[in-house]
Formats: sequence, C-alpha cells, structure tokens
Amino acid sequence: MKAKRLSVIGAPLGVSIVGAWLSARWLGPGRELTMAVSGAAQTSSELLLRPSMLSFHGELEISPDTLIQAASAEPVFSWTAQTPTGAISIPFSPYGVSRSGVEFHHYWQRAGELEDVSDISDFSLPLALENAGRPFNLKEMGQLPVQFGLRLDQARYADIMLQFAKQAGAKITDDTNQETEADFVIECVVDVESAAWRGSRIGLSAPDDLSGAESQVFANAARRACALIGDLSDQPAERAEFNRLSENEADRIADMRTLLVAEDLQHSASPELLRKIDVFRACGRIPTEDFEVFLSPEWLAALRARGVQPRRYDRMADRLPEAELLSWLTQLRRQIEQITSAGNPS
Amino acid sequence: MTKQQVKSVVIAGGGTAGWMTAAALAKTLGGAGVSVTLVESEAIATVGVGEATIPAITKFNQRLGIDEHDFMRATQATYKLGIEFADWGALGESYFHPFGRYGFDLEAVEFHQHWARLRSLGDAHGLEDYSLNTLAAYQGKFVRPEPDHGSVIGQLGYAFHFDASLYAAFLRDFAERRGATRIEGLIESVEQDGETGSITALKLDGDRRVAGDLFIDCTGFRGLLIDGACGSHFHDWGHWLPCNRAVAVACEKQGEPVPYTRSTAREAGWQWRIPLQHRTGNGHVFCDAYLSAEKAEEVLLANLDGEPVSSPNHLRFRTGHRQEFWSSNCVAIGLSSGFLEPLESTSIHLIQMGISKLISLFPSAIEAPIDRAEYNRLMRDDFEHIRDFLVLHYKATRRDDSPFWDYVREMDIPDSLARKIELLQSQGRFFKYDAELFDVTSWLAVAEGQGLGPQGFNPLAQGLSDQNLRQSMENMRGAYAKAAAAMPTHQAYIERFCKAPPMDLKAKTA
Repeated sequence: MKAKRLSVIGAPLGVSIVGAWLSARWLGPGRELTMAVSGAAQTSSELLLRPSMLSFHGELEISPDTLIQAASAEPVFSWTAQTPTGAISIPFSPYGVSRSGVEFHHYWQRAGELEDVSDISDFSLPLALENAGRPFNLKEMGQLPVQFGLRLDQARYADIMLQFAKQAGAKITDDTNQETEADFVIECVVDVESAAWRGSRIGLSAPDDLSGAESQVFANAARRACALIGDLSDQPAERAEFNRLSENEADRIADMRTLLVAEDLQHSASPELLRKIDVFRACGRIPTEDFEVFLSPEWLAALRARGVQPRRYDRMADRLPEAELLSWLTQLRRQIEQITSAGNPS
Repeated sequence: MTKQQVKSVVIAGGGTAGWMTAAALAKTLGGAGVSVTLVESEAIATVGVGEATIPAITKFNQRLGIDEHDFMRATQATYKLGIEFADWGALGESYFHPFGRYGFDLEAVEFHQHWARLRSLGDAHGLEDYSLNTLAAYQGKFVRPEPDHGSVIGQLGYAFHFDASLYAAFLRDFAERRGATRIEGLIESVEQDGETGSITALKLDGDRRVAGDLFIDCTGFRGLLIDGACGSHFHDWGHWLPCNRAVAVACEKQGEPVPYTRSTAREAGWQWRIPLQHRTGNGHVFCDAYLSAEKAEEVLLANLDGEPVSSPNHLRFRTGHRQEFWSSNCVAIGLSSGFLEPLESTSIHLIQMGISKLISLFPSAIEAPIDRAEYNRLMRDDFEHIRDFLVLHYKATRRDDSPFWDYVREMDIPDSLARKIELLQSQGRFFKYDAELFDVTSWLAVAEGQGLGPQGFNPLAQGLSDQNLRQSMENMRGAYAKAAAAMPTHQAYIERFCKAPPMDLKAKTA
C-alpha cells in the first residue's frame, strides 16, 4: 500500500514546531513526513515561549533543561507589549493571590478605597522576579508559585526541534517543491492572518507582533491538525472544525492586539472585546470566550494599562475585615520582597 | 436611584431553587453586609424539581461546607453513578450513561479511539466494559473515591438521588442559621417603581410589604416576578423537545436501592425511576399531542416497582427559557427561568449555575446593565448546550413504532448539534465548547448507545500494534472488573456511613 505523505513547508519556526509535534504524534507505519524549510531562521532573533509551551515540550519529552543548555534559554515571567502610551509588562501569573475564590485585584481595589495603597504591580511576584536582576535556576523555578516561559535563541530552538523531528523519523530537506509529491501539505508562514484548511492544504500563519504568540499559535495548530487530519483524506466536518477553532484563536489574538494598540478602543473593538471591557469596567470580572489564547492576568494587565478600571470590586471581598485586609496586603509585599531579594525562595 | 447599593435580597418562593439560593447567598454574602429574606407560603405546593442530580452538585455542597453524609441522612439520599436508558435507540435496547470516564488514554491518544479501532478488528467489547461506573452500577456497588484509592477508582464520578423537599428543608435550616430570614406569606402583588419599572417590594397577604433591592424569582413555572412584573418573554424550544407534560408518583421501594437512575422510553415520551433510601420516585414525561394524560398516568402506574404511596401529580411545562433571566432588578432562578426536561437530571444543576453566576456578578447597584447582560449571555449558553445534548437523545433513535418517535427522528435539529454529531460519527472527534457541561464521555455514551457512534477512528490510534492494543485493552477491562468486584455494595456503604432514619411514607405524602 502506498504510504501517506505529509509535507510541512515554510518558515523555520513554524516548520520545526509543527513538524516536531507531527513526527511524535502522527508519524507511524504507512506514513511519511517531510519537512522543508524555506529561508533561514533569524539567527540573532530572540524567541519567547509562553508557559503553555512547557507542557507542549513536556509531551514531546523535551525538558526545559535541554532548551536552557542547547538554546541559551532563560526563564521569563512576563512579556512586553507596546501601547500608545509606552511599553508595558504583562505577567503570566496573577497579581497577588486569590482568596476564598475572589481574585486579588478585588481586594486591592477595596483596600484602595480604605487608604492609600501602592500600585497593584507592586503585588505581582512575576513582575518582581522579572525585575530582580538576577537569574533563576530551574530548581528555584519549581518552588515558586508562578508560571514561567522561556526566552531563547530562535535559530537554535528551531534547530533543536528539527533534530527532534529527524530522530523521530521525519525527513528534513531544503527542497521546497516537496508539496508536489505530498498527499497533504501544511504551509507555515508568519504574518497576521488566520489559519485555514482548504482541500488538501492547511495554511498556518502566526502573528509576529505579539511576543510569544507566534510559537504558541504554531503549537496549537500542530495539536489541532494532528487531531483532525487523520489519514489525510478530505473530511468536511473535521475541516470545518479546524477552521472554526483557528478563526476563534485568531479573533482572540486580534482582540488583544486591538486592546493594546488601538487609539480609539470603543470604535475599534470587536463585540467580544467590547464585552470584556464593559464587564470588567462594570464589576472587575473578565469574561472568557469559547477559545482563549491569553490568560486572565494578561487581560487584566492590558485592560489596566489602557485605563480601563472597574467601577466596583466583588462584594465578596467585603467579607474580609478591614484590618485583616490591610495587614494581609502588607504581608504580601513583604513576602514578595523576601522571595526576590533572598535568592532562596521559601 | 440607579446608584443605590444592593443591601437586601428578597427571594420569592421556597422550594429547591429558593432555599438553594438563600443558603448560597447567606453563606457567601452574609459577611458582606447583604441581608437575605425568603418569602414562601405553606399553602403553595412546590414542584419538588430534581431528585436526581449530576456530579456538579457535590461542588455546590462542598462550597457551602455541607458534610456529605449529614446531607445524605437528612434527605434520604442514595448515590448515583449514571443513568440507564432503555428502549431509546430501539425497542429492547439499553445502554448506560456513566458519570465517570471510559478507559485510559494510550500513547496520548484518547481511549475511545483505541476502542473504536479494536472494534474494527472484530472485538465485541462495548464501552461499558471500560467504565467502572457502569460495572459498579449494574453490580449495585459503590464507594466514595478518596485520594488514596488509586487511578482506577479515582475515575468514579458520582452524584445523588435525594428527596428534593427534604433537601429544601435541610438548606432552609442551613440558611436560617446563617442569618437568612424566612417570611411566611402569600404574595398578592408586586410593587414597582413607576419610573424605572424596577421592583421595590412584594406585597403579602395581611397588608404586609417586603421591600428589597434585588429580587430573586423562585416562584416556579408561574414566574410571578420575571414574567408577571418584568415581562420577560419565554423562548420556546417545543419544536425540538416536544414533551410538555409529566405525571409523577412515589412508590414503595423494592429491595435495595440501585445506584443509578433509569429512563425508559415510552410511546410518546419516557419514564424515570429514581431510588431513594425510603421510597422510589417515578414519573412519566410525555407530549400531550401524542398521548392523553389519562393514558400517560395508566402507563406510569402499570410500570412501578412497588405500590404507589402518593396520588399521581400532573404537571404542565414549556421547554425553553426566558429571553432575559435577569431583567431590571429581578433574577429568575429555577423553573421560573426556564425548563429543560429532566432527562439528564439537569434541573438542579441549572439552579446551581444561576446561583454561582449571580454570586460572581453580584451587583453593587440596583441598576447593573453590564452585569445583567453578561449573566443573561452565560445562562443562555448553559441552556443551549444542555438543550443540544437532550435533543441528541431524541434525534438518535431508530424507533418507528409511534408518531411521536417518527416526529423526533425526522425533525430538524440545531446547527450546533448537527455539527457535533457529524464530527463524532465520522471518527469520534469531540471538541468541548468553553462552558459546555457534558463532555466526550456523555456524548459518546448516548451517541454510541443509540446507534450514532463513531464509524471510524482517528488514524493516530494505529500507533500500537494489534497485539499490544488487544493486551492493553484486556488489562484495562480486568482492572475495572477487579475494582468493581472489590467495592462494597451500595446498600452496605449507605448502612455504614449515611443511613437515614425511617420515614412514615403515608404520613409524609398525605
């Protein structure tokens, strides 16, 4: 029986991420996977891998240690975005800690109505760690109650993933005409359009203007494609589902982009983003859509950076007595200072 | 007016919805300076919605800090491992919808894909052989999974069957001890602000007046506040879920209670059987366009396990929901907010969802348009997701023995459901939407159980050799069978941990 041939072609980052996943999850008897890279990876370029990429690599049994050693990776706790008023840091983990099911920012807002309290960013352990001015090793990271991603060299990372795929049985080539031989082609590019599956071809694209989003989008697409392409035959229901999920993902990324950069939010925002803004402004809650890329603390940071503030906090934050609330906030700041300065997290 | 803070909540109506709401609000908002008052009248009978639940109820009880065994004793409860569906796909067929998952994933590929592949190789074992819930249910076994029980028993999911009126009484005691106030009285009219239309007070018999900032309508199907005062119209789904009546009756229990609900399809609807510690609850849900109420009652009474201990109670309902669950300063929770037939025991769950969303979005001011819009959107999503799953039970039938089944088999279905069926049927693909209640286990159980299961499988499941696959699946079956055999009986577990005191059935139901 003729083997089913799948080709992954295009930009190095996308090909390496998608190809690595497919080599581990799709490749098997009667199947061939060819990866053809067009153009070189940006050798001097840094790449941010969001925290969820650690589980992606974990499933491939690629440890953070491997990436740290082979691609000079460093832990990161936040990402930087540009807004009309300047650059902002967006943490991957929540400000403060939630308590009795109520998120920290509600308590912080209530405290601010009682007395002067420092900015909410002063209660962010990830931001404090980012600004600590010292490296953190993996052992330390494992003890900290924060999510972290990795910042690393893009070209070396792509090379690691390509080598992984090669060892798993994928064929690596620089012949970009591979698609003529294949039963199915996945083409990876980096721009700001959404992915689409048409006929026997999937065009994957990832945004390059939001730090960390491009690798995440390729990883999500790899999982999605792997779950749906099956034996590479044309499957309308699977195709429609792939496209629906991809469009949702692109919409949410577009929402974050709009929130960060739009001069006139009210007139630029999609209905979904407007809802996030309105509900947050009304009660401090951030509604989620069917498919989200960014975490709740990221939306919170972006909303605040654009001047969207809740008119009120969650009434359940009133359950904490005033004195206890204020002393808790003081303790939190002290703990953050201890963790970041001692170099020996408790 | 619009900036007035919400300091008092008035709940209209007791029953399951009213007291669940009162208990949750008293527990969570009592310390935040919000008073909770519930108005009910002993002269008005409650519908007693529910009796059968889904696993999410355990979270509700846990959040209130309720001890599970105390609750079991107080409500004559039994454990529930799932639902048996008889005669749904075709007459003579049956299947089990378990609360725990099927099997274990292998090589990062979902279990059911391997199962579908094994079937394509000629293996006849059904999904039930890989479900601890199903095996335990049919053997009358139960144990509450604890963290040290290991991964097999850890898969066991459970809910409860309980006496809804006793649950309401249990929660009343809970709520009153946490500061909720109960007022006995008949609501005669609703007082509204002449300018804004918002509710200002309930006027009770004896010329009494109960004022409040936020009103919760738990008056059942009547929707005294949400419909009568706020005029929130009803969105009718009768064309997809045509059953519109039910007749319910309790009967004496026969033998030990089984840890599952039974749903048996009838000529123009279906019949439930819910075993409690002291009695068995029964009901016949039907469509009156295809069956008379007299005939429905006759069918019900002819299919009881034991002697009836109450008179049959007839109910009429409309399937669907309010266009606005929260309108002005009134939030409808329970039957007043909408109704989906209890085929998958979701009535109490929808109450729970209404309460948890209200707490998350609890308004500071009486006028809260954004919070209200978000609440309405989330509740509409909940109703729609459950609706699709219920419609699947009717659509996925091969029955052609009555006009009712001909209608539901041939009817158009929502696009969202058609898309799900198509994906599931082709190669067992399932994508759970964000707030969707039922997961792949549930969809697979019903679709496969009624003949719409996967026709193929994900080619990724071919990673294992035939021999490895057969061996792995055999090992799994063995592990489940062994775990089920080692579990105590459901009755023995109840006797040991949560045996309820005996009740005089005739006196209670009189």
